[in-house]
Amino acid sequence: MFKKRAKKYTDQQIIEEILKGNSDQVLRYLYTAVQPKLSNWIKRNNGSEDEAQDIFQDAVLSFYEYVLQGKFDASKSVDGFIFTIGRNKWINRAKQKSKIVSGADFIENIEIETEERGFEISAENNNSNQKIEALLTQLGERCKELLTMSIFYNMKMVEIAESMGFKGADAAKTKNYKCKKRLMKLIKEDDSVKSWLYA
Amino acid sequence: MIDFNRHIEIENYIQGKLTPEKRSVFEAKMASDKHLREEVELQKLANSVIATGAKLDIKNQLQNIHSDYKKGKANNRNFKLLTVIGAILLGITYMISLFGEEEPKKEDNPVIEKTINVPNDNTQKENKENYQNESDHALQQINDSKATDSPISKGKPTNKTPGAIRDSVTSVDWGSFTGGRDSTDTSIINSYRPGGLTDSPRNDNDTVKTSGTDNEGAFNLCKEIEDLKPKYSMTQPCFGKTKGTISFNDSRFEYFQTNLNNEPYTNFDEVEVPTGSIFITGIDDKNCKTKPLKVDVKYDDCTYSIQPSNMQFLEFSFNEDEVPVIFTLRSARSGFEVYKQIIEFAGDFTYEGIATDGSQLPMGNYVYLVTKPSGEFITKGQITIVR
Repeated sequence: MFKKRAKKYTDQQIIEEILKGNSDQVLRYLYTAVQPKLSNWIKRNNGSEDEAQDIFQDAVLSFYEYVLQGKFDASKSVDGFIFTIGRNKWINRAKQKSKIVSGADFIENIEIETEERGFEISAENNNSNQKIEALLTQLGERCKELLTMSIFYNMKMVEIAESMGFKGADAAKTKNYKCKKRLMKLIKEDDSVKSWLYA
Repeated sequence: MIDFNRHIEIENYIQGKLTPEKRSVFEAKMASDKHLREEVELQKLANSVIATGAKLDIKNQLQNIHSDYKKGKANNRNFKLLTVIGAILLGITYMISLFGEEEPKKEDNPVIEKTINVPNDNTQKENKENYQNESDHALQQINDSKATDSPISKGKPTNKTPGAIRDSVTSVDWGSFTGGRDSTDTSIINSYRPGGLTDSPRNDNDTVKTSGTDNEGAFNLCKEIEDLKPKYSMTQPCFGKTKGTISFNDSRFEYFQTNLNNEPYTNFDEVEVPTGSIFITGIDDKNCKTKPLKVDVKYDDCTYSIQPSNMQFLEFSFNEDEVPVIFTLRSARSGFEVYKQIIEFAGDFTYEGIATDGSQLPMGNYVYLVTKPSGEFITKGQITIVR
């Protein structure tokens, strides 16, 4: 009765949903479509299950960034794209760890650059991550959601207003401004976070 | 403190939206203005914090999905194992019954007795003395339970022949997989019993199926989700303007508003919620429930901007149960009351940026307060008048 299955999406729908800031169902779908394949490949190439999951997460994040920056080539298949990014990432990581990856020819015709747009704060740094999560908790769920839509998902104010129930784009814009101001105040008040400014 | 326009200009600069000319001007300004440079850096950092937070959220979501699937696989494996063990036990029972035909029946053979008996309420009581193990005891307690969420057991015979056959199988299964569970720990079973939220009575087959298959490993599973909190997002209502809504994006569960109705809603169903406290229960695909999650819905401090000169007014719409109210407006700077209106009837009310005497208010920020005639606070917020 309550059985849930990942909804099936076309590549076009995946892109649309990401641009609308909807991620849970899309992520669930991407997980079922790509993770097992990528995980098997990584495990065949001396990776552990945890490493495979980690690489899969990074690959999905890279895919999100491609989509959000308008750099994703719609002629490519989404599954194949994420798989290829994941494979490249594992090859790079394995090289760093001097692990032997079977078949160096896997690197053939991979044109996708796996360098991510550098945010100043490394997503790998647990200490920074905890501080960021604490900051965002202080900021409040609604402000966080609004700023995530406007900054990370690049959504238009009209879309944000519709999505969050504001009367119009102006109201969303005002709230966005207030939330941003609030976040900047929180950053200023936190010496350790403020120090990132001058790092 | 930076003003709105300056903030927008900085944001446009960061996002590369300025024309080359404006960009040059802005950069020249930055070169000579230390404060501006700092503000730009601060806004960039704020953007990074948000972007990193969004990435962490995505990672966490993926990790949760991964855990869900792993758990699902483990359950599946357990279920297969249970099925095999169940089949073997049934086979053994069958063999015993075959041999039993050639010999006089022994009255104290518990397996055969449970298989062929059709117990009534009295025999059920007697059976309590003869539990094969603690899991059997637990199952019996489920059947006995008429309290709390027990639509299945209401007015229904609790033991029938299929149930008795099932007992002989499941009692062993549960004993094998619950790892020496404390026999007093039956509250979990009673509180999180499968099917507890279904109002419609089930037939006996359903009962057997629920207890025999879906319920496999239910103790551990339900205990695991007991303290999970469904993730939700909500918009608080603006009085007279928008309704409060809630939606869930945690696909581990289906949801029920436990204090309003029992209609389930699923991920991304946006449901209107009244002000006050509502309680939400998540149910996973094993029918295990989370503890009710209390969600407070209250009017937001909503901010509006109006431009009376361009016929942009503020429109409210009130329900019968929301009126009468008193709408008061004060200057944000001086605190002086500039406008007061008693709204007695339901329907639309438009505020056109005027003072109580009907004159146009100067541009600026105003604070509005909505109260009941008794003075009880309802909501407040800000109105910016742009001319």
